[in-house]
Order: sequence, then structure tokens, then C-alpha cells
Amino acid sequence: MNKNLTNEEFVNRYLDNELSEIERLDFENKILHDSELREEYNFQKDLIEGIKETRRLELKSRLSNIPINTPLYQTIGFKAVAIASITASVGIGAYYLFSNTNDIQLSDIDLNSNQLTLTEEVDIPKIPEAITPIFKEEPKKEVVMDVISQEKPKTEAVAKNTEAVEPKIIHPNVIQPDIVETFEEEDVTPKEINIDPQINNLDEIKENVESTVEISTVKDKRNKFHYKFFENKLYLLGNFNDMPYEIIELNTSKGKSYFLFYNNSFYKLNSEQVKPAPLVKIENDSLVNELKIIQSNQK
Amino acid sequence: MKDSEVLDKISKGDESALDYLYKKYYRMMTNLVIKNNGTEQEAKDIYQDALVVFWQKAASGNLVLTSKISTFLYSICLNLWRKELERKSRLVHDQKDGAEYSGHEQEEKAKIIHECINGMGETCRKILSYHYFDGLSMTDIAEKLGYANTDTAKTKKYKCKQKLYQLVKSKYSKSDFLD
Repeated sequence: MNKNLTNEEFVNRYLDNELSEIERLDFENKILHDSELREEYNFQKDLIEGIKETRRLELKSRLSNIPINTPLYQTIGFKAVAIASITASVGIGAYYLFSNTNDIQLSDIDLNSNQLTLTEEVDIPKIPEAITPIFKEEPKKEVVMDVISQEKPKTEAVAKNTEAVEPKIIHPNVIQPDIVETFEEEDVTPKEINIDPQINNLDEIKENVESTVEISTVKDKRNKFHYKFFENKLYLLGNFNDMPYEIIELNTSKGKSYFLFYNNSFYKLNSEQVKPAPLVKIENDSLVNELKIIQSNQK
Repeated sequence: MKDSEVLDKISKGDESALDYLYKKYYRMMTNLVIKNNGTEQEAKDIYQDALVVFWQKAASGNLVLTSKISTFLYSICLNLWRKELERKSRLVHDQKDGAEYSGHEQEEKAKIIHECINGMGETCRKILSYHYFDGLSMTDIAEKLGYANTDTAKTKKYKCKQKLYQLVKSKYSKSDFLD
């Protein structure tokens, strides 16, 4: 061994495996009796341990920053998982759930397609992940998981076809109207509500004509999502105070047409409707798009 | 990604392969701990530790895998969790541990070293990590860090180690570190 080698260098070479066999034996013999060498050895050993630990922590923190889906469906079966994840997702209507369970048809895209696009972004990729717990403790079953994850490209294909369509959120909690045959006036406790000033703007569509209709929202136990026109006044029956709504008034060749925009959907309002009638969502895509254009022009 | 591709990437020090594995087996591995009296947090911790162990073995290129990665990872998790359970039960049984003081001192030392490492430049941190933890060869390190050749990497590593050595030495006073 080189006699000029300092303890520091000697230890360094030993730890880096750079000593010859003879030098190594010499080192191991020396360290038993030389306390300074032992001290140096311990010091450098700590340094290396520190380097390793720092790296370990760095890798762990890298992993910690990888988002993992919350364990919502740990013990539920596959079907339940699929259903849970679909219903849990924001902006996916019950309609989608229905169409999803009945195989997605490429030809049947129009309205659903919007939801599919959203679904692809929000939810579908998670499903294969969520499935893994079912095969817990059985690494061998990986094959099964792979098969399931192959569903993903399929949905992607669907989503791809629908990219051109503007995404629209349809909220799952649309209140289903009860159809009421008779309207009892005494049930209604009309209450004048201050109308959102926006509505005045919206009323001017083509000719800047002031709105001719007055609007009132009425909380009504029996008519949860209804409307009626009475003495040139529009009554919205139901709980319309929680979310903003807009009334769109159009002057057409056949007279005035009214539409309600509420909770991201449009509803046709028939001005001849004197008795409370359920609000029916407009499903016609081209009409919806036209209304959207009108609506955005007003803003 | 096939197992062989994952291993290939790891042996080149490609950390994205680690991310991939992490996500792929997260549920499976954490469930193993959760089903055996572990909390979600413990499960996550064990799984991360297991992956880091796997990384260290695979990155050095010395790992010859006779089973699937998932099976291997599973057994690491199992071992780590068993050890952790033993540690926990020991902790309960002999609360009054005489080694507590020296443990504390060791912790202090480790903390200083850790701070010094983080105080060094990124290149030094990387080169030392790759060498001492990942076990990458100097050729791999040179390639990964874009050095002209292996000798440059060797010199750089030597200098970085020197630097850390001086840094830590200066932080220790004889009284609180050396016997």
C-alpha cells in the first residue's frame, strides 16, 4: 500500500472498492487497532448512508406526487364499481348511465356524444385502476386487468368521433316533473321576486324591444318544475332560487317565443300555456346550438 | 409496457418507469397492507419503500428477475410490512429502550448530512446518488449526465464527494460529533 495515502483517501478507496485484494486485507486488519482510521471510516460511511437516504427520500417524494385515485371502491364488485364511478362523476346524466349499460353505439352519438367526451376526460380512464383491488393479493391475474384496460381505447375511439361536438354538461339531478292534471289556484302562493337585471337584456333579441312579459318564480310543493303563462305573466313553479336562470324571448314571424335556460339546459315555454305544465328539456341539437349562439350574443 | 421494457428503462435510470409501476400496482400492493391491519398511509409508505428497493436493485442492472415484476414487488411489500409489524410490536413491548439517546444523536448527524447534500449543486447530488444509491456504472453516469467520457464522470464524482466531505466536516464540531 502507498504509505502516503491519508486515512481519508484510504477509506474512500476502500468504500469505493478501489483497493487491491492485499490492500483491502491490510485495511480491514488496520481498522481493528487504529481508532483514527475507524473514526474516518465511520464518518465516510455516514456520508454514504446520507447520500442513499437523500436519494431514497427523493424517489419517495417523487412517488408521493403521483396522483392516485381515491379508494372509493375497495371492496365492491366490478359492476358496482362501474356504476359507482359513472354516477359519481360530475356532469354525467342518468341518460348516459342508461346508454352506457346498453353498449355505446357509434351511430347514436348526437347528444350522448357530449357526455362521452366529458366522461373520457373525467372518468373512464379511472375504471381500470379502480378494478385492481378486486384482484388483490393475486399478482398473477394481471392478465385479467389488461383485458379490462383494453376497453379504454374503445371509448377513446368513441370520444374521438365526437370531438367536433361542443361539450355540454347535463346534470344528473334534473328534477323529474310530476304531471298534474288539475291546477288548484289556492295551492299557489305567488310571491314577487326581483328579476335578475340580466333578463331585461336577454329580452331584446332582434329589435331591441322591451320585454313584454313579467316573470315570477313560485315555490310550489306540487309543481316542482313547471311553468305557466297567466295574464301575460310567466310563472316559474318550483325551486328556481338556488340557481340563476335566464329567459330568452324571440320575436319570430309567428309571434313571440320564449325559452328558459336553467342548469345548462334549455326549455321551451309555450305562451299559450295557462295551466301549469312540466318544463320539457329541448333535446334538438341544432335548436340548442342556435339558442346558445343567441344567448352568447346577449352577453 | 412489458416487464423487460420496464427493467430496461430502470437500468438506464429512467424514472418514468418507476412512476408507471407505481400507478399500475398501487391498488394491489396497498391492499396487501390494508388487509393486514395497515392503514392507507402505512400501505402507501410500504409500497413506496418497496418500489424504491426495487428501483435500487434494478437500476444497478444486477437484478435477474425469475418472476414477474408484480410478484417480486409483492414479496418485497410483504417482507417490509412484516418487518414493520415486528418493529411496531417491539415498540409496544419494550417502551424503555436504552438505545434512545444514541438513536437521537445518529438522527442529528443524519440531518446535518442531509442538509449538506441538499446544499450542494444538482449535478453533485445526482452524481453521488447515481453512484452510491442507484449503483449506476460510471459509464452510465457519464451518459446520463452528458459527460464526454467515463473519466470526466469519475473526476466529477471524486470532487463532489470531497466537497460533501468538507461541508459536513465543517458543520460538525468535535464535541457534538466525534467521539
